[in-house]
Amino acid sequence: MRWSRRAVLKSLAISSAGLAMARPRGTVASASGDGRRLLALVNDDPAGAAFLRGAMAAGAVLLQARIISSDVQALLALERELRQADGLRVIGLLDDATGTLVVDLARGAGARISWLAQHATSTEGSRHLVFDIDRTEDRTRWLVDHLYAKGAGYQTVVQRRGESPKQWSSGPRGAAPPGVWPGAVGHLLGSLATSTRAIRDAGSDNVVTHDKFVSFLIEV
Amino acid sequence: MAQQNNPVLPRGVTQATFEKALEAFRALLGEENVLAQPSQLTPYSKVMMSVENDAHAPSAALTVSSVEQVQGVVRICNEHKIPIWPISTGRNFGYGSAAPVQRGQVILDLKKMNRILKVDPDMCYALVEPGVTYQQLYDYIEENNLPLMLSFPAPSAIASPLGNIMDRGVGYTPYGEHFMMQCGMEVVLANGDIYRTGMGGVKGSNTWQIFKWGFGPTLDGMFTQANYGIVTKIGFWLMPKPPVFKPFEVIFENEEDIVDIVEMLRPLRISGTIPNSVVIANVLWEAGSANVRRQTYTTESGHTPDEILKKIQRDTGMGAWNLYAALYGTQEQVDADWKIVSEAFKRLGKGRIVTQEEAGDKQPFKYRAQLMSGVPNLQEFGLYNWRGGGGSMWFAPVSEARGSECEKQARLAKRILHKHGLDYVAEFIVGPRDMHHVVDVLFDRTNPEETARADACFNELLDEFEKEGYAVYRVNTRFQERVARSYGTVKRDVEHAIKRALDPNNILAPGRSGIDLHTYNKV
Repeated sequence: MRWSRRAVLKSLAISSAGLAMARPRGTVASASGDGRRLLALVNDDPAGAAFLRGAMAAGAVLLQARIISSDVQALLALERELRQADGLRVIGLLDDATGTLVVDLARGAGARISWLAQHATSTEGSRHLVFDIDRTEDRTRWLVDHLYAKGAGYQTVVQRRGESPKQWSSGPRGAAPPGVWPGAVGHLLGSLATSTRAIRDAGSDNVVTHDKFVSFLIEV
Repeated sequence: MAQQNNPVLPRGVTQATFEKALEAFRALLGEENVLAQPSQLTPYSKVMMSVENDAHAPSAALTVSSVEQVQGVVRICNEHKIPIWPISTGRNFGYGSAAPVQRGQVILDLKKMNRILKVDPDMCYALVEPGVTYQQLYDYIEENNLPLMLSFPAPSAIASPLGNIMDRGVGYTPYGEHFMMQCGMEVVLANGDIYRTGMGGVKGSNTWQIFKWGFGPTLDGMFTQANYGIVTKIGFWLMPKPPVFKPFEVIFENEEDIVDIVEMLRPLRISGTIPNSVVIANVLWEAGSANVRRQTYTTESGHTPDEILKKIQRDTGMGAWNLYAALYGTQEQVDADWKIVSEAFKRLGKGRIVTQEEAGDKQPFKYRAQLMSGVPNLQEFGLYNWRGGGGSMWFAPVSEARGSECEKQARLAKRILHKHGLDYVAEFIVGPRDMHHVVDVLFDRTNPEETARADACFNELLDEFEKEGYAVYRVNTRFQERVARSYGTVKRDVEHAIKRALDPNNILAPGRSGIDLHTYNKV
């Protein structure tokens, strides 16, 4: 069944309502923790929906979600938005083609990138190539711990400027569900974007996908 | 703001000297144009090659807005022996992205120099700065209703005409050999002098974008794929928009058909009957561009078996080879040429012709027709989803436009790629006499083992093709030193003699195309 735009948005609406109700009283519903607008970019697919749910579970409840592809006009509009924005954070989980373009356009617009990673799902679990930019090793550590706790296998390589890469691998985890990572990455980026210190349980949103993705946090 | 203990420094430069240089850059350009924080440099560091990003990490990036600032940057670099890596928009993707050839070089980003200085609809040329994109120029032409047509590569909308010409890139229109259409450039030399090529040195001349050659030695080509200067303006000719444009596709079922296709096509290209840079894309290039994903057919590692390629052909109607060409001119001209071309294909006895009327909005026909008629798009990025994982290195050997040669190259490339568990994703871009055989070596960078295989594969492609007398016309930054060796020592000696004369401090992009005063004599 083709995953439709309506399904993503419906999923988002349901999750949002549920999360809003579950949100502890007194939590400030700010866009990104410091008043900056928070935009989430996803593809029209189940991984995108899981990513959004994960981001909202981290407290990014007022994020604006946008479904995007490598359509030239949409991407150029995004570049203009980045160029003109005064305080904007953009998180996302996108297919390689669109992700490559978004990251490149962010450079053109003079934006900062505080998180950048590539993700793949394999029969053994998931693989993550993380470019550690602002000492986000604890976040990456949380990601692999979360995957492990959910019974998912993983292989993670962390590259950092001027240092040798680090590798974390769970080894084979049998028939563990491979698809919990999109939600977990959404949770991680939602918490980074909203400057949430404590990361909560990202849930067990399990998505069957063999696609490969780029995740990012862009800041203007 | 001082940057403490930058983990990435230019080669041979101490932390203290680097700090002094950064201070000088800040004084010249302002704090906001000197980028040294990790989050500012990450967008410049993302590579698609078979190495870690860190291998090509810049130490800093500078953004400049004027020729005077470029001169100022060059002066500071000479003073502190800082190597710089100039980029226009840095959208070279499979040829190396924005990241420098050597770790630690300071990127000089010219994106803010983005003025369209002139578009002459009578003489049909443009003069632009480095940061101008094809989309920007396209919008200008559309908004001003000018009867002109652009020629650009596949990342059209976001790429820079200056960058593409300087890298000797190609497009898909009759003006598709872009450096051939270049006319006049302004270059900031390493000593800060401003040199204008062709007629550009003549005071009051109005023929800088009209007549290429000027007087005496013609040096334009020397600055392409090179590191002898920073080009700050470039002129190039634009094609008059034809009244009639007729794109078409010819679909061929079998891999072996490449021999007959090329033999039939060559006379039509040399005679100019088919005037544009024709593309012959194989099934995987075609499928990837149409957003077909490998995982739809198999999740097995290794190369995609031929049975699956045949299944993709059956499912999509794509050919083993898919030829795209177009005719341009008045209705009478196009009708006459179409008769010649369509009859030639009929005589061939193979190939199914598809016209625009038959294709409608179907991809990849639609984006191919757009590329051949100068309408920007980004459709071909779909290739990056074929295998996914962010690895892409374009292997681009030159071939004679001779069927047997193209088949030989295709077989050789496919064999080597399959040996390394990767796919043969390729297109031939057909000049009158030459073919750019472009192979996109796609791999998954999340998989260290596959990344290592891609690296070994690319090396083997270079080695094995060289044994047959083939070499690439362009390559990503990881392999530029290796490719330079294919072209012989005399050429390299000459290139380094020029480098010593023009840039004795070796500050301009050392390592570009293998030209580096620091390492050459030690090789």
